[in-house]
Amino acid sequence: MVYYRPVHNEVQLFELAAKMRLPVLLKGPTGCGKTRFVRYMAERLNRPLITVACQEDLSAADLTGRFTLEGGSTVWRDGPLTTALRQGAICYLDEVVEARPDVLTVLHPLTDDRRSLPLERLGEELHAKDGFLVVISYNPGYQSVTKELKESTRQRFVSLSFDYPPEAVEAEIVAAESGCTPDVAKRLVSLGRASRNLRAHGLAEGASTRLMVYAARLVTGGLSLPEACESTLVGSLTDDPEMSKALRELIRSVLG
Amino acid sequence: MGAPTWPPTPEEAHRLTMEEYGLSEAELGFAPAEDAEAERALLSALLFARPVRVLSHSGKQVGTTLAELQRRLGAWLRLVSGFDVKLAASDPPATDGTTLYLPIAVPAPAEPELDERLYRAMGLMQLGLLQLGFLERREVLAEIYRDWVLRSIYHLLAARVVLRHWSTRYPGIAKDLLKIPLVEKAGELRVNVTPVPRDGLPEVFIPFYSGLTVNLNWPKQPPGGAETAAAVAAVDNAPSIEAAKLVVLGRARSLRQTFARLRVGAPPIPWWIGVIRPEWILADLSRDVAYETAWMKGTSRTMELLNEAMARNAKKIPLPPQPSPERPKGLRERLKDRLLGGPPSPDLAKMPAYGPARDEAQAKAAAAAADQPPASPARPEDDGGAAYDEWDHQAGVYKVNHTRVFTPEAPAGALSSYQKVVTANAQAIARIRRRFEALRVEERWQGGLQDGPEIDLDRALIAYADLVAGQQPREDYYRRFVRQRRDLCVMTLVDLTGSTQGQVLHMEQEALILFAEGLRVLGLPHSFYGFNSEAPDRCNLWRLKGFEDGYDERTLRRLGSLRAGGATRMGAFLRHAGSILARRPEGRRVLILLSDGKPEDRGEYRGRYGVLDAAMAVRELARDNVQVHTISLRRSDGDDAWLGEIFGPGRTLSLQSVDLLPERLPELFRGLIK
Repeated sequence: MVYYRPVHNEVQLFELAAKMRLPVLLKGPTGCGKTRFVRYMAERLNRPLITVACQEDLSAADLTGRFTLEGGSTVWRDGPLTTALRQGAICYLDEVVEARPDVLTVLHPLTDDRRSLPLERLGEELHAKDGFLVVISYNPGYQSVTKELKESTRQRFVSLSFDYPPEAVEAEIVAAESGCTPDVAKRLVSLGRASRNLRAHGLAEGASTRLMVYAARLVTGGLSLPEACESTLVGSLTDDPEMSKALRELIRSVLG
Repeated sequence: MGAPTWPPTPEEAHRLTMEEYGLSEAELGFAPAEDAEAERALLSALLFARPVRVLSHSGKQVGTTLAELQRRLGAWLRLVSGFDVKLAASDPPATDGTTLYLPIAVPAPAEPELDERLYRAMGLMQLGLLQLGFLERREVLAEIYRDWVLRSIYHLLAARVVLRHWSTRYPGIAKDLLKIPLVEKAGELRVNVTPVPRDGLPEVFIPFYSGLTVNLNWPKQPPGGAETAAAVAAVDNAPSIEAAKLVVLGRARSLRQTFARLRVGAPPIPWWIGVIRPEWILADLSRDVAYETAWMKGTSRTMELLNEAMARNAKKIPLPPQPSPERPKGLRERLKDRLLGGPPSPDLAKMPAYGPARDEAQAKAAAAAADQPPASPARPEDDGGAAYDEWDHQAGVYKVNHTRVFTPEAPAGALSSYQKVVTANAQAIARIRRRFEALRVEERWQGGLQDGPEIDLDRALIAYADLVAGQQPREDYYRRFVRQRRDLCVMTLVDLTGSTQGQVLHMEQEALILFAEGLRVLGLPHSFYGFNSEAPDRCNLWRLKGFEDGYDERTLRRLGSLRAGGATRMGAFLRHAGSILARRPEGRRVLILLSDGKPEDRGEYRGRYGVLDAAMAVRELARDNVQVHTISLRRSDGDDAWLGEIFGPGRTLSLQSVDLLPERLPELFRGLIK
């Protein structure tokens, strides 16, 4: 079973949304556990999970499917959305605002009571199998500055807001995910949380829980704590020499 | 003797300081004063003196400067505290509740690592005072504002709590803070800005300094400091920050009574600890602060009056002579004048100088005199220009190097002209910007791909034919809808010939500004030039905004002050525009021309001659892949065939009313690139 440490009532909410066939929108900063949560819920609900990493060039055909030429004839190949529809799977569109808003309108008939997908090229309308669920996610921190969901898309989803867990819970997660000692986890979390103070003031983002887990794994693997921090909490957060020095100084301040 | 008032008025402080200026070392050593007035006089001398630290601009007499590490230091303070740290320079360290003021430099010698540690400690101290709430209670701030002795005691005790706070949270900071008292340049003792000697300090002060500054030769158990030591111990042992804050205030008040009884004045504070400035935090005390600041800067009311009077007089000083509107004559012309009995050659020394120095002086003088724009040369400098051939349709040949085009900077007018147009057309500009925003990227189908959402039928047919023929087909038969940044630049030429004077010029200017506002949003490389000519060898392409120019104030001034005059030698302008566009790296180049009349200039350049030369120039541009479009502002007289003859079919937009231009120009462009 995938490890996930519930923080609030997100598990119950998701279960209820799935039961009531309501699509779900997950919002939260990078590396706070959104994708892990979806994987956990798919296992918990015993449903297949199909993940799509959205990007600017994603087209509606990339989601629904297309004809390909195979040996001189054209063959229809389902896209991930259509596959999920047929299988009754959870279709998870990660970083959804990276896709163009007009492409996402393909989701509209799937996210209301119709739960169907018209496939013009095939001349048919597919109805979603029981268990099909659309889940989308994005990071309102840096992505919302330049990109946003169309209102007509946004209002079709039940929203679950994620944030980094409280300090003690975050330390518990880091320890559980990496196998490091509670003391190492606590010190890493202290550092990581301090780095979030510079969010939008020199750093685009502070250290994510995932990054702290990486640092902890390096320590578990035998690297010293300062070295592990240098490779993750400094190197992965910034290329700016001044910010790097400030982060190093922070590491020294915290670790002594 | 009346009750002492505190703080002293600036005049009073000044008088007291002057009287006390000759204080000897012994007198400064806090000998018990005879009465409250003497205590006040002594304090005045200390509080209102200038800092003695000399900062050298050459950098030889100072250590690390704040500027060197401001960004890193700000980031670090934010990292450890989460506080929205703003840093500014002031000596000694202080805070106004939002900004941390740290010294502009630490004393020499420069020891980068140590100096940075010192800065961090100073920042932490001010940050701690703020974050722990030592500066949040208004009544406490007012109380310590009125009493410098109480303020100093309060500060010294609060500093202990702040240090403990940071040391407990971060082990690394604890190590650093332990070292700071050992750094001699950090621990200089001061009353406000005035350093005071360590030797001879009243023993009752000494317990304050353990852990805050270097001890030197102080006795370990000062006989007279029992009460102070007890206060320090009580603060150090307070079980929580909230409890410590109460202990600090209570003990400070108690010690204040003791010090008044002993008549020892204010305990000096180590430099790195800084100073509490309640007046910076309490807004209603700002007037007092202004006085104090004026005094600290050495300015007085008299000086202020003098400065004001000088400023007034400066406006009455006559401006330097205005430049002659005529270009100074060259040597050849002066010789010609002399030989032909013309006017005598002017004395060179009396001629107005040309060049940047003159322009700058005149610009400054003019700008200072009134809200007038800096002066611009009335006509372009002779930059040599560029020679172009001209097409003679009757002879069927080019006249080699027949024209010469100059590209002077257009005159710059008042900035307000540009701003007025923007204000008056705010809604239209917002609309244009919205539309241009949508043009930022280019959308098109890209075929011949190995992967894509659609089948590229042309390629698929080829692949199928290969397959049927028994050959291995290429697998590039997909296509995809792509969006990418446009590879395009645009140059706009605007007619500044004499015939545009009046309404046409006015609307041209408005159109240009609206277009410019839209293009700024679009982010495409673009330029604006105005054209008019005086003769074949004097064609001017006035640079309103070159491709390399940004939208700085000078550009806006130029765009906001079009001036008309001269004629239309269109072929020459088009050819020169083509040579500018040829240097652009963009794949697609667009030239838009705004004109109100036929190509006509002096001499033979009229009628068919002008039209056919311009048409030839357009063909030359087309050969070089420059798209030319024109907007004709000429009221139609039924004979517009020449427009098509020059620019080709579908390349001309004729406006029946010039009032439509501001809206139609951006629309034309939008249609061109959509």
